[in-house]
Amino acid sequence: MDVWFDVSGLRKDGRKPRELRAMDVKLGGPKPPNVDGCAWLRMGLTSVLAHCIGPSETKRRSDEVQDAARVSCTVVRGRREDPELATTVVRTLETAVLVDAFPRATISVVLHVLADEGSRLACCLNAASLALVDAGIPMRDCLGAAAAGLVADEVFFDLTRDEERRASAKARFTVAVLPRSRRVVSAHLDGAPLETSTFEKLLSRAIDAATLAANRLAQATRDHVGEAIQMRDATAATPPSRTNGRSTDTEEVVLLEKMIYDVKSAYFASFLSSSKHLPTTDEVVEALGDIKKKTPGLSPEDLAAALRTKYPSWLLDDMNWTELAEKMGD
Amino acid sequence: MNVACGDLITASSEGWMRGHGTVVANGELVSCVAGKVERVDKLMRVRGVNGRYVGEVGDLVVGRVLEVGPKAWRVEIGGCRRATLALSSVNLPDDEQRIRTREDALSMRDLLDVGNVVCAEVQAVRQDGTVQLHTRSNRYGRLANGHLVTVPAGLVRRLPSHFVRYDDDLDVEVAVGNNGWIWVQRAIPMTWHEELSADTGGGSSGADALLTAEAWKTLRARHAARPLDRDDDRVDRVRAAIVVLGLRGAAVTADTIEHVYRDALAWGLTPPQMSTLKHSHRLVRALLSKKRKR
Repeated sequence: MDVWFDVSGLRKDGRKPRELRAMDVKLGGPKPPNVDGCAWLRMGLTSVLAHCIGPSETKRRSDEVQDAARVSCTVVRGRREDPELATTVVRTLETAVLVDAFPRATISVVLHVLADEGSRLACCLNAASLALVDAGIPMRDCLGAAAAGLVADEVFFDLTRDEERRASAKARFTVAVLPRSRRVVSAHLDGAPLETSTFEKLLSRAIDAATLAANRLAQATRDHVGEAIQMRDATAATPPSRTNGRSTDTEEVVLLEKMIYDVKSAYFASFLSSSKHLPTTDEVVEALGDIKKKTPGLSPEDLAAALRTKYPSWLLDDMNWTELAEKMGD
Repeated sequence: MNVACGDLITASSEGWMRGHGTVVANGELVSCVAGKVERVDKLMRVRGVNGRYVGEVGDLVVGRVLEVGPKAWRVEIGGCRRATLALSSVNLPDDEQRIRTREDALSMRDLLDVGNVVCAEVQAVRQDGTVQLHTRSNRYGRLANGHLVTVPAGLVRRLPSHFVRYDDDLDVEVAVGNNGWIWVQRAIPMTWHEELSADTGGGSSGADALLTAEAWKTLRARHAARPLDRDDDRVDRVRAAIVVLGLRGAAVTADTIEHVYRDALAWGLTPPQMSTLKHSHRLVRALLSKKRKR
């Protein structure tokens, strides 16, 4: 008979009954070009790699859902796929993701179970939810999942493979919750039929375990996001490289100088041809009025001379002088 | 303030405007993506790090034609759905302004074929989030003879100009799409511009260019026909610089690209070396230190 509790009340791996295994979360980071979000989650010795692609165009028209996104999932375990696990993951994610935001699109999740040392389903659900978070897909809440089982008449959280084998003789609950609303989005019970009181007790314990897991995951995403945002915002304010700044500056200045001072340049010609830069009669009248105001009592010859200093002579040659004389009056 | 999804933003949704990345649950304003809470007056929103491109009118996007449909092209731009580029919102080859005929629809593949890379502007965003594009400017249209790089869309912010030209020793042009798709090509020499503007008599009524549409077309064709120079790794290095920024989650701007390029050149890194884990980390750290000096 193996011993599940030693005298100090600890489990085989040194945990207390209501303690989760150490979690190791790696979010984001370098990923394949078509993948939008990725996460690697290790719960104890169980580890799952999750990739999220989407929301993207649905491959087949017949798969499209008119007013919501479709969630699809593939679970790869060793060399083969696990469709049963995949269906559970899809059903769970569908309730957590705000699918209405992406009509007709598909969100696909690929999970690789790298090592299975107990609580496989919980680890898959957690990893999938992290991958979705990394892909920036809006979710109602940070999903958390954990298993709780009856081992030696005691409720153990986050079962290892050894304990799982043991617990399945009695009962093992894997529960996924949205902690904010305390909503259970999926619950899986394995094992023998239970009495109502034991069932309720086990379920509420499993919810506690899942909430614990959810809080840890939320903290991990907060940390990750903080780093990523800091990186993005810090680099966004990078000062211009000196050469770049100077070269564009001078280029602009040269261009402007050409436009303003070099009357014969093509730029100036194109400027004029847009017909905005011949002084109109009104403009000239205004200019003359200005000159009159500043120095009253000028003779018409003096006025003409003053005008010449303001505009180049070849522009004034093209003026319609009769019209000007009419407008001026004198 | 950084939040995970499901975190409380304000205890009451009363008096706040619900922005992107937030939902109201039980009268509380709750975030639904992981990111940073940004407040503009009464508008609360959460800006996430990743996430697919969400179209906004006026954005420059670079995309790839996936399908030639009836009267429209379907363009992949890295959004949730494919974008459409209607036949009526491209410039015809002869620059005519007229109703598109059946003949035009039949010769759509001559304008853009499957697999072509285009740069375009977002004309409209429909209710369901699908994007409509247009290429009614000489600057937009088919791209050729260059590299396409993709980075997460969140890393590209609105820039003063999304067509960046590095002169002097770089001699590279970059079109930074708001969707995170970035086109890199050798710069079209200014002398070509001048030759053509001399030929066609300079000015045109176009707001963004002195060249006519016809001149742009010849310019494009001439660029597309330019042979590759195997010894010239400048385009490749700029491409690698953008990959480094995307890999490390750093913002992609004209300045950051050039900094990474110049650092890599100074350290004697070849383009393939730049995007390795070790060197990309070093290059981005150098970027950050540049910020601190200021």
